[in-house]
Amino acid sequence: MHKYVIKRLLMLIPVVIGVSFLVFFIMSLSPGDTARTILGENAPMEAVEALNEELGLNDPVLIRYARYMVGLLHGDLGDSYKSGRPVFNEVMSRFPDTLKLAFWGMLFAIVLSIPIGIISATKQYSLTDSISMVFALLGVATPNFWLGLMLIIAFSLHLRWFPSGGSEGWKALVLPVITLGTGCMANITRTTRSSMLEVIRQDYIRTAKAKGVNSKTVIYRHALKNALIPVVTIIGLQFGSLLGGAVLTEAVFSWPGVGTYLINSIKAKDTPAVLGCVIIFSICFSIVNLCVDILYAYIDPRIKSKYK
Amino acid sequence: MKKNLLCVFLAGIMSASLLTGCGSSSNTTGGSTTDSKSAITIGVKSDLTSLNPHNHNDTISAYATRHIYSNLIRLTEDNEFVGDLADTWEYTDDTTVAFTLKEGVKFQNGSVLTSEDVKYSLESQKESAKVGHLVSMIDSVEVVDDTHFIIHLNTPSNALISSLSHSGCAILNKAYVEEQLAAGKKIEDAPIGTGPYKFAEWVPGASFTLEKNEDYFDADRKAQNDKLIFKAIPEESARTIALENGELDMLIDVSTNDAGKIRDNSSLALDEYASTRIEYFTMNEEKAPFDDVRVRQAINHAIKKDDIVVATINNEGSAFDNYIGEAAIGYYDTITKYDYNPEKAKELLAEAGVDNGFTFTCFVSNDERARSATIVQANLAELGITMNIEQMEASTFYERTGNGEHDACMAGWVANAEPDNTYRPLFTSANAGAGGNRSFYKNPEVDALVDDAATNRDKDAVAKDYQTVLETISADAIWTPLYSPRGMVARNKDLQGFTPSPIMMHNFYNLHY
Amino acid sequence: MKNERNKKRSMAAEIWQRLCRNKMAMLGLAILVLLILAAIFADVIADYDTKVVAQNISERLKGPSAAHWFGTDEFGRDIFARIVHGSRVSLVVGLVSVSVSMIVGGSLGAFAGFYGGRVDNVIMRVMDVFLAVPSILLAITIVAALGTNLINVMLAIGISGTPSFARIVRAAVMGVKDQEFVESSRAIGASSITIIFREILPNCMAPIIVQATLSVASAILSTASLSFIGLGVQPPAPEWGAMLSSGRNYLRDALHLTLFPGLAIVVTILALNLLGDGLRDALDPRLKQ
Repeated sequence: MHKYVIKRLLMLIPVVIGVSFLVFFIMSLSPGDTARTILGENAPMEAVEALNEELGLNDPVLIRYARYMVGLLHGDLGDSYKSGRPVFNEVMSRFPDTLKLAFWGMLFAIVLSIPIGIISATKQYSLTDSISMVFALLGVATPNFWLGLMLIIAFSLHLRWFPSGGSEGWKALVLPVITLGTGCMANITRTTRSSMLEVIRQDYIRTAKAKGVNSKTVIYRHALKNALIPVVTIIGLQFGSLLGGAVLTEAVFSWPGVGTYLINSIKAKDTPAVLGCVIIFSICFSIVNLCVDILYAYIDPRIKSKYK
Repeated sequence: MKKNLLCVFLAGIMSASLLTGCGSSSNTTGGSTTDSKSAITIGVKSDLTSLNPHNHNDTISAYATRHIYSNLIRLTEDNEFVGDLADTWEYTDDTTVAFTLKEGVKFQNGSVLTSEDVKYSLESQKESAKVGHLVSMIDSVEVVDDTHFIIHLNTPSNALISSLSHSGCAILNKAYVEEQLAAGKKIEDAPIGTGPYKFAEWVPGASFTLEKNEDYFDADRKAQNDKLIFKAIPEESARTIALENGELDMLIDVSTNDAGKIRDNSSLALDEYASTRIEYFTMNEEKAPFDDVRVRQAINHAIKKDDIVVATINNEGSAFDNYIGEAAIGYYDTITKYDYNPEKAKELLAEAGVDNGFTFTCFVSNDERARSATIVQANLAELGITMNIEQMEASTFYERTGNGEHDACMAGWVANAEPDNTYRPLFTSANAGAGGNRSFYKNPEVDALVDDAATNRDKDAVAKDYQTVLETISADAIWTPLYSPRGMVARNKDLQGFTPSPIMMHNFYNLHY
Repeated sequence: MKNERNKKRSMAAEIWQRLCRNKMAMLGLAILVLLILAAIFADVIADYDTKVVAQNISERLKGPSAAHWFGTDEFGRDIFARIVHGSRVSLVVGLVSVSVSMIVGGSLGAFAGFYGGRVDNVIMRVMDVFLAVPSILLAITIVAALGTNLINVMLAIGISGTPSFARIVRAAVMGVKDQEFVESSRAIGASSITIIFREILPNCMAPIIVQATLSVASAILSTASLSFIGLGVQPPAPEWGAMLSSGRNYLRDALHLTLFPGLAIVVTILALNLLGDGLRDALDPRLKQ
């Protein structure tokens, strides 16, 4: 098991190098005057040229990439072009907020969608099934930012239950969590439903039912445990898209997380900042996937033996 | 009715989620409201970039640094330059200015301001890529004694005094900064200045807080509140809602679509002022057919500015014909105006030989300008001209228009306290392209006038120079000026003491309930 | 030969029957058919030049009425007409970008799954890199690099959807490549390419079809997200996401500006998801009752 974890962690290195290469070159391919964006429309030409020179932007792409990689190998993500502060500090000061949002959003989605998925599966093709699925699908069908604005109008402006933005206290968390969570409800519900359907039809469940075991017990004790594996996978995969989805949610709710920072950095063509965010995102994503795989081992002992 | 139904529907989702999901997180208590009215919360559209005056050049960072630090000179609300840290100053000749500092001004760490601090601040500022250009005319600072120093210029310049009032020319504490740098820290980690506020806290991406400086030197400009909290709220409607909910005491950057709502709200007030911001449509004079002055004039006659004012800024401003904001220093009403007259436009196009129409692309960089462009597109379509719109990120826009890849583009400008900072980048040949002159207009006569105005110490001659420039460029129709939005700041109606600044360099020290 | 064709036809009929039994899937299909009809006959329903792009400032931001069923937008244009014409844009963006991901991702996945070993490793590691970059970031930077227009938007969304197709096709190919019919065509000397495209892919269409249906939905949403940050379809062309994002400035006074395009997106994506789920059930032989 330890060996497997270490091997997986080592696999992160090529992924990080690949990601940095990809993002670096896409960013340099796209036209954009970084110094001018930082200094604004009113800054005179000498200032723009001086800043471009100071940031080393006049050097060829390969040299800039090499310089960046040398830093990266020493664990240095570089300084943000815009603020001049270390990217690592910039991202890390915002990361807890994004993680908090993603965690509660995911919890919200799980708590709603697994029961809906189970109910749907046990009553396949019934009206309850249809309504539950439509409800879950509405989540994915509703554009994130639109739902966020609608929630602000209803609960912040008219009912005044929750603040419209910021990140202080649990009240500020409620609307962004709902907005973000609904987006990944559909996939979890769908997977729970289909994987439950599959398990329910298997012989041992039929046997248990035939033996007269209470059908609720069958579902929750026997079927659910076996149906969970694909659900855990999809939750892991969703976590990545949740971090991505956080970008728009954060913008709507003025949530001071990495998503907002990433969008602003892309707009400013602040390459080190964008790279820093993406590298930290991808490491995070890979670690979540690793955790998912380790969880498998605990849910399904058959898999555990494979890791030895 | 529709809205109510929506609320009920959303409330349904909400209560379901409260029952199942988020009830568990209620262990902490929310405390976004301020307990005493002596802390003023101000909503802004984005976070600051740096607390180091030498490391930023943007309005929002300046809200922080202008209150933490002081300058030698400051600009009053009546567009006059008066001494801030400087007591008096005098031009001994064209390139030598003698200054006297106020006595006994103290930094927030207790040390006394001296001429050495000024010398250190201005000379290290020259190294800054972001604000070094402001002091490029300064050759050296000569310290005479603790309160007397002389600034030597490398060339005669009218811009010195206005530059010294810019947030980039803040005066730092030499001993403290050198100590910080030696300890491997940065100026922005713990900024110390002579301003009315001390730095308290910065939560990146969210907010920054300033605290009253009890030992501030200027009794007339002492802080009337204990704390200023600036909150960054990027989404327009969310900003207004936060003000309406009482989460904010004041809101800068009021959305034009919400202004009416704020006016109608009996517990809020909207301060309106003439800003120096203008928006314009500019054609690339190096590309046919815009190299023909008649085509540019025709376009000026073809665009219905009143429609743009309605559709783009919801009537919160006015159609504009000039090339520099009305509230700006250096504004003169001596221009050729073009009324909306499609018939005239057609005649001019026929004279220029393009009466069969043509196709070109207009670059825009944000939603507001995209709306203006959509109106221009419809106006020009009536003359048989096809205008394609290409919206892009600001950084891409700067690069591509700087290279002259555009046929035309939408742009805007906020004039600051120094007219040279508007005339030079926008209208001179040397700045064609990336420097700011996106019309690529090149006229040696205009260049010479702008140069003269920058150095001539005769005020009347300077005024004449600028007037002639405006007359020339408006006759040449190098842009189509579109509109000037109204400056707006919204606040709780009981909040007193706000005086807006036309160049958006607002002061907040006087705010109180 | 003929026998085989009959067999295929009867299989399709069976799947169709199973799909028909799923009421929600049929609802989704019905909505999609309506949408496609609206896209085809858009010019008959509302004239492009006089209804969709012509401005009328005095009529701006008017609520729904008999003359304007869905009201008018900030330029006084009829929102109903724009939504009808917008269905064209959305469907084209959805179909083209998904075709891009399907062709590129599908071929890569097929090669990886078929050849295995080093080819598999190289292709899938590259795909991992793409998967690790948030797709919205990938789309934004590609559009920024290539310039903002409809074709580049489709390309960007297509590329960012490539890795998920590669994964699905690879898994499917690995599942069938050792089966008898592949062995037999290899025995008669068919080339690898022929085997992949003639034998293997047709036999793992089920997951591809399902993924394609769902991807059209997410492509439409991604376009809306790109429009939300101003990098989508350019004015005056009507696109639902762009309408939504320009309407958000008027959310509080003129809700209809965002409500109707928003609903158009929600309904379309809901329909695609219902159909996709229905297809998944119908195509999955294990779920046969």
